[in-house]
Amino acid sequence: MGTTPTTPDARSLVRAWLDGRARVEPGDRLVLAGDAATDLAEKCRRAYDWIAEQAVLTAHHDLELGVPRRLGTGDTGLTVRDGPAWASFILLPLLNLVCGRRLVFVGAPGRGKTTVATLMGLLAGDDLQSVRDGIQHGHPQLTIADLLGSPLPGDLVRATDARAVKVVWRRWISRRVKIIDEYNRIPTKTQSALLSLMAEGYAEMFEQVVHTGPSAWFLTANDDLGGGTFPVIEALRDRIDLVVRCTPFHARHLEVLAERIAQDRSPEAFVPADIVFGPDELDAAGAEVRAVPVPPEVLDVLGFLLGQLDFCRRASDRLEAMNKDTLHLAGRRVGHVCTEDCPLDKQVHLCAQTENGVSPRAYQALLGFAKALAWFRGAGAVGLEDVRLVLPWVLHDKLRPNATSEFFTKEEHAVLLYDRVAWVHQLLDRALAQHAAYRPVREPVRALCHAQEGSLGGRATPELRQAAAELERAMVDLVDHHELSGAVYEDLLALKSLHARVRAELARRRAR
Amino acid sequence: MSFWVRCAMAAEQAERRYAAWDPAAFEEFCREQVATLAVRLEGEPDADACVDALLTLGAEALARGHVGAGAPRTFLDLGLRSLAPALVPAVPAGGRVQALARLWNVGEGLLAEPPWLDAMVRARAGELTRLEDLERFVEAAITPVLVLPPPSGWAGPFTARVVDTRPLDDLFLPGALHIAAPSVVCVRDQRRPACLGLVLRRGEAELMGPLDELPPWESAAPAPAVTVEAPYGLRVGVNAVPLPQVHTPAACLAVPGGFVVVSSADSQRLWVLEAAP
Repeated sequence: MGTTPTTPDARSLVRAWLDGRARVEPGDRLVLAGDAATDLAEKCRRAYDWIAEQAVLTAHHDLELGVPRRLGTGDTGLTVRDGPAWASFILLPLLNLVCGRRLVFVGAPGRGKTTVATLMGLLAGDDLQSVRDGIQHGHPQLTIADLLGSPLPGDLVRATDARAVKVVWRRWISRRVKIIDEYNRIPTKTQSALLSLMAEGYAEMFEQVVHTGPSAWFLTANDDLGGGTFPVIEALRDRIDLVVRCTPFHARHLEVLAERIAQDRSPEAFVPADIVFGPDELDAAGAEVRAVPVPPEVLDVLGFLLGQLDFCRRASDRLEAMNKDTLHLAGRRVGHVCTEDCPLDKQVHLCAQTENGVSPRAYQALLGFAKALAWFRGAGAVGLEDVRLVLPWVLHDKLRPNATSEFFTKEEHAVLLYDRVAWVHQLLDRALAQHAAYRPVREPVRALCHAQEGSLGGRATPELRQAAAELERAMVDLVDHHELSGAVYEDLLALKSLHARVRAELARRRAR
Repeated sequence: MSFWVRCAMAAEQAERRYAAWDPAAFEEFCREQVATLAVRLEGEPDADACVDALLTLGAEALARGHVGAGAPRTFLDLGLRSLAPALVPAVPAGGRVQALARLWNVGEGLLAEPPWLDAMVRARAGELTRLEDLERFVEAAITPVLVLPPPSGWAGPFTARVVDTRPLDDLFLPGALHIAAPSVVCVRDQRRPACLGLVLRRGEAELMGPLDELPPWESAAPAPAVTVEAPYGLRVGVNAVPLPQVHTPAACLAVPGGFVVVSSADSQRLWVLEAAP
């Protein structure tokens, strides 16, 4: 505010305000310009509110923040939280739109999968007819040419060189929002063409290339019981960043549904202009999301949880091979070795619960969506609560439970085999408790690792020898005094890899 | 085109434009503020243009939450709901739509500033009698609070000034105090959810209000501790300041620039002590 003791500051302030959005055009017409300084997160929240209140009817607000409180006594009580709650079916697609990632809706037919995907297309600025025309419908006869495009027959006949053949690419490829309906009904061969688009952002035909540009992908899949489905190739399935489940219709919304039928009105018919994002706004929102910081303590907990899932003590005697990939490559499953022969307590150690670990791609998706949620909430940084809310949806199809684990034989754990969300929440909750208990062991290891990271070239040789000795002592301490669990394994791997770096540098110096 | 057809068209356009749209609130705005303006401008050549302008501004303000029910919370809210219907008709024809545009721009500009600035302007809105004077009025309202007081040595002797809150609110009993802006103290009522603003300048203190409670403003300038010293006095830093009229202080606050504001548990007055320049 003004700091000089004269009125010109007041004058210049008022003059700046008068040069505002309202102006009068010839004919005494008042025009209100758009608000250039749009708060994009606020716009996204408005979009959520509109969809949740006017467009998509759901009673399932399953993304809840705040301190939990148990209501009722006995087994059939329920938990409420004191913070805001959102419907995953609506919020996660919005975040996907902003992040420009890949999401699949799963659920029975008629639950609104295509409707929500269509709304995302409308929010990205396309008109309804263009969105509907651009939806790619999976069916068993869908060919690569149907999906991507093809040359005009005349060009094919006339051309004497492949480069002379001009491919007429399908228009949907360059849309910001790409909708693939029932992607699990696309034949396997055509799925490979889709994979190229989704994974690499381009497709190639007759030595010509089409780029997708910034894109938000929305795929839908009915359950496999519907028939007419093809196995989804693993590489394509792995490219899906998020799974969203469609929620059942609740009878309290029957009146609204009846009114829509009576008025022949559907919410996709008009989306209010002030929640439509232009391409620049989506780009800017994506940049804002990426800029949301992830504090080290959040990364630490996340690493602690996910680092344990790949671990399998019985997969090998070599430290680097003590993971589930070793088993799978040998054609074995976790259940073959996760028995009473393994000394780890199956009720405690997280590694016993999963058949596999988590890929770096899943880490990236998780961090991306956690940032998006924090941005949406208006938080300055990602919190553990953001991770908690998006984790089950990122890992929904990526993390498979070890169904034969002794952990699931307990009655209260058996239900976790049906409810992936609750299962992943349980994994995180246990990891948080274990993280706190393991902290006294982990902190000195982390401090040592931190001290030994960075460039080694500028450090004196005696210092490096001392570093190698310290790393060895830390490894001995862990091995001799602590049970080889997933957490200890992660720390041992970190220490050993740093030890290898130091040894390599010492060897280089000896060779000179 | 009839008045209500105009309103209906505006409502339909607004529903397609705004996600957070309340048709009932807009209808009430049309029935109250817009209808009042339309009646007062009946027969004027720019009546339709003014009605359309107020409909456009009202729709935007309602959708953005700038206008609500109950007492106006911002100058823009006050402007659209009270000042526009009352003062636009007095503007010469041909300048009325422009006056509405200026009213909007000032109101929206104030929203982007610290809330105490909007509160100052809103508190003095009763002094605005012509929309042509809007610019001068707003400048006069905000100038006192934009000027940072010069630093004070907090030396005695202190001069005392009494400010009576009854002319602004005859039920007001001053209680808790906090700094809301460089020269503005927010005074809360001891018994009711009511606040007044006290603007401090060298040699004068002016009450404003009523206001919404303003958020506290943190001053970087150091201020001495103020403690109650029996009987009937204060210690301001090293200075003993007698205050015989205040038997039981409710609150004492040192304000940058050499001011101490005191409220009493049993008086509707405020005491403003000013350090020597």
